[in-house]
Amino acid sequence: MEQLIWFLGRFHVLVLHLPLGILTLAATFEILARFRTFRSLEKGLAPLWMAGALTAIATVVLGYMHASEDSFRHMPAVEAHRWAGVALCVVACLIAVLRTGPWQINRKIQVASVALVVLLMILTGHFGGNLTHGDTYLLQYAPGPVRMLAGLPANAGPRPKPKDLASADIYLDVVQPALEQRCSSCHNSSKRSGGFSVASYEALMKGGSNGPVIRAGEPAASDLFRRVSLAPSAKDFMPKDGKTPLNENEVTAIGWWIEHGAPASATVGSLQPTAQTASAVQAIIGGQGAAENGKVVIAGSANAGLPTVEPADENLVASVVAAGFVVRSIYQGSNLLDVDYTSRTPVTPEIMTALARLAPNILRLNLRRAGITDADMKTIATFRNLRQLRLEQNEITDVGARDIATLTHLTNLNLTNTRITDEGLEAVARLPDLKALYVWGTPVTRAAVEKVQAGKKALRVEVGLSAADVPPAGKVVPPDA
Amino acid sequence: MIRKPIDPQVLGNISRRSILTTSMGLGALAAAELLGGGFKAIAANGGPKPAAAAGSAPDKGVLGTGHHPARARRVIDIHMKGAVSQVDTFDYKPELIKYHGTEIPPSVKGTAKISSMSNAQSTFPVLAPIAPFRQYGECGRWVSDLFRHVGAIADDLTFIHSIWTPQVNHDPADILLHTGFQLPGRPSTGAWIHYALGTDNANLPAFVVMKSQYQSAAVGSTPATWSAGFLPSRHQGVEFRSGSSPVLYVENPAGIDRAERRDQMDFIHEVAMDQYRHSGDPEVLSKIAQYEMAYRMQESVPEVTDISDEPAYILDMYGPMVRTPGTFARNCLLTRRLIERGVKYVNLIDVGWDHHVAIARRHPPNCWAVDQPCAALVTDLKQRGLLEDTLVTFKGEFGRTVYAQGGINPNSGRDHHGGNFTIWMAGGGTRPGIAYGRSDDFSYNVVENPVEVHDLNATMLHLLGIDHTRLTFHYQGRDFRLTDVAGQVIQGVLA
Repeated sequence: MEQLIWFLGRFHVLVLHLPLGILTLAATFEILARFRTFRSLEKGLAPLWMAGALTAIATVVLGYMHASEDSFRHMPAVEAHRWAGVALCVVACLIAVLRTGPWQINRKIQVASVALVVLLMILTGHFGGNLTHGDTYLLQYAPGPVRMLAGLPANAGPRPKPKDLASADIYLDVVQPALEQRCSSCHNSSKRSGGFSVASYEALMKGGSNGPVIRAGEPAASDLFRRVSLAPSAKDFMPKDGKTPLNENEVTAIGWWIEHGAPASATVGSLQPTAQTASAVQAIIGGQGAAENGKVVIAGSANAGLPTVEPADENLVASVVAAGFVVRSIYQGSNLLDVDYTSRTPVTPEIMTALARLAPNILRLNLRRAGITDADMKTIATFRNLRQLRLEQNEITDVGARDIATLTHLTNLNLTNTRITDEGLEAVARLPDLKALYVWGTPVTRAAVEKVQAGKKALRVEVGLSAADVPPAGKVVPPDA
Repeated sequence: MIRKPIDPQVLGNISRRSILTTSMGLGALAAAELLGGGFKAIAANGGPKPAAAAGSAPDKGVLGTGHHPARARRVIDIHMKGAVSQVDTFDYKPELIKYHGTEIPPSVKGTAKISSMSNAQSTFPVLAPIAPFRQYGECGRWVSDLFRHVGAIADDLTFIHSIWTPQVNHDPADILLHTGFQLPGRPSTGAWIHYALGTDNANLPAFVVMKSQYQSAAVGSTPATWSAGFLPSRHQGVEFRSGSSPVLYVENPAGIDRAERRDQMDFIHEVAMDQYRHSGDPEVLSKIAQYEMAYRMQESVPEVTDISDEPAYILDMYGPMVRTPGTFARNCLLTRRLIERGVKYVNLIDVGWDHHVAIARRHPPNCWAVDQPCAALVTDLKQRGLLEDTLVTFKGEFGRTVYAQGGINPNSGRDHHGGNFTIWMAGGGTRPGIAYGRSDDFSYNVVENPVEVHDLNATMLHLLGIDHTRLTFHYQGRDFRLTDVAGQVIQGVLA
């Protein structure tokens, strides 16, 4: 039964537009009918007021049903809306009765009652609007003087968009806007569902009727974080009722903010974000690296600081594809390319030249066993934006390694089963961003690798196993078989 | 005459429905029929042109690339069919030795329904792990002596101790794990990935399945776990067999050479395309694509499966069994060779793990046969620079009970247990050297960070750059996805 009442109650927000329109029309006719030109409108007034009154009664009844929902209990803003609405309904009914009856009414009373209807309509509408959207909604973008009149602090205007990740404020630019957008329709300073509001930092930290919802430093113990990070199907999940939830990035950022003590203001840079947090925050504040509508988590750190390039020429791509390459964007909508060559036919110099015309777009290139030589390395050295390069099983020597050493953005380099020696290793190991270097199956010595590793902790040189490391396999004797 | 191979990209982009929903639409189709033009008229007017293949661009899948940058480009899915006992291998519970032979506490066992194979038992005594555990690596992971080689690379692995499954029997649990639904009929993980991302090497199948051949087992593999389900059938896993002919019927019969075969295929394609123009059945295109794949595999497969170019010490890494075709060890080596060449998804299946009886005698030989090859595969990928973007997963369809099936005696076994089990992953953007989630002291229930089967598949797709909620296929009136209506990416295991 309760469910049915709540179901019908929600039609309140639909039906209320009927009396709103009809009573406005009635009031307008009432005024116009005073002029000779529109005298004929007088005849329509009685049915109009009657219709207005009847729909107002229906709206009030539905309103009572709607207000019986748990989330509206004990809210002062509901009471104001309720009594303004009832008063409006009563006045509208009175006018309707007076209008339909046979008696003549004093003009002054007529004017006063119409004015009263208009006033009550504005009040009811305003209180109702505050219930739905929160009481800061109306004046959020109001000019300074208007806000001053309402006793609000003058708007500083929207916060300027943060210039970069490091200078973005974790609360003011990230957490606060996210909560404002996704939570404030119920948790505002007048509706306060569960006694909780996100309207200000103070209110947020104060928590709801069950106490604080944020425990600084402990996301897992913070009810706010717990409830937004649950599965959407969970009973306690927020927001309720199928409202749009916070996205993955926002949840990540909120958790990280709480972990760092939930400060009222702190730059992202000062909190030393992990790669994952950095990419989540980056996606929220937009700019480079953020995928469409901030929904997508950019995995890993490889995304930070990627170059912006023009889309690759389609005909060029087609010619490279026809030569046996697989060319993909690094992700949907990106102009940066991921290029693989797995054909068993060696790559010709002509194809390398064609590939070089795509060079600015190529972020990752796999030329495993492609018949590449030192001469081709001159061409590859023009691929300035390369981050990941696979060159295993090609006849490349230290001469080619010196060209590779000019590709300053390289992070991952695979030279396994090439002919580079310690000299080539030292050349490429100087690359500033290099994180993973594979030299298994080359004449590179372990001593040289250790020397390089000692000087560069951020770089991992994988030298792999040699015949001396692996004991002979022996016989097939499973235990207890 | 069709002289060029059919472009799989074109094949991939066309279905009966797509013909009707192109800009031409049903009206044009009807008009074309009235004018006697049939599908040719549609094709001539800018509709799909299945026959007009140009070039031989490899199939990039329906997505072409990920929704976000990928950390993993390839997946190796190692499955121990029958279920590994987590209690005896990776889920270290030292207290169990003390409790050996005593009844499992009711507070732990709870009232949840258990498998009917041990349900009738009057007692449920704890069976201590059948092998001692020791600590490995900088991460200090405890692994039992049944998996010494895997233990030795623990710093490269990500363990999940808190995965669980609602299924109590092998095939439903296996099919749930691999298709997101417990009944056969939906596409498998490998098929979804092939469908989404296509292939990086047009000369090899994108999705390969290899089963260990040396064991006979009551509980075997089920083709439902490498099925294409309702996706076009060319996305199904291609089975490689042991022996001289890894893919059946792919070689030419005596007296037929490659040029003759080509002529023959061209003629068959011509006839088939005629059929396609009349029926519009996309399975005709699948069939042609399969013919072409088989033709290319005649050259590429022998090159992959011939291991004569492997140095002796690399073979030794994989253990003594690697020299025998069809063993799990050999399949691990072949997997590495396939992955090097850009194969997207390899499913390695080992069978015969269902030890309801005499687990202490029967589990060790199984572990011995897979331990060294698994560790060698990870190590070999790592030294070749392939582990950074290849995701390796090792799992069974569920775990085994801590209590003894059949009482405490030399023939004690362990029953199926879905409440918690342990899997491990390596590479492909997972965080190495960690253990995620925890089971209770009896390895009977999850107590921290529960992981559903769907979460695992969501995470795998995430690492491949795919948002699991956005990879769908419309079938029988609804959009299906691998994770059904569930799945959360396990953030805690991402690097």
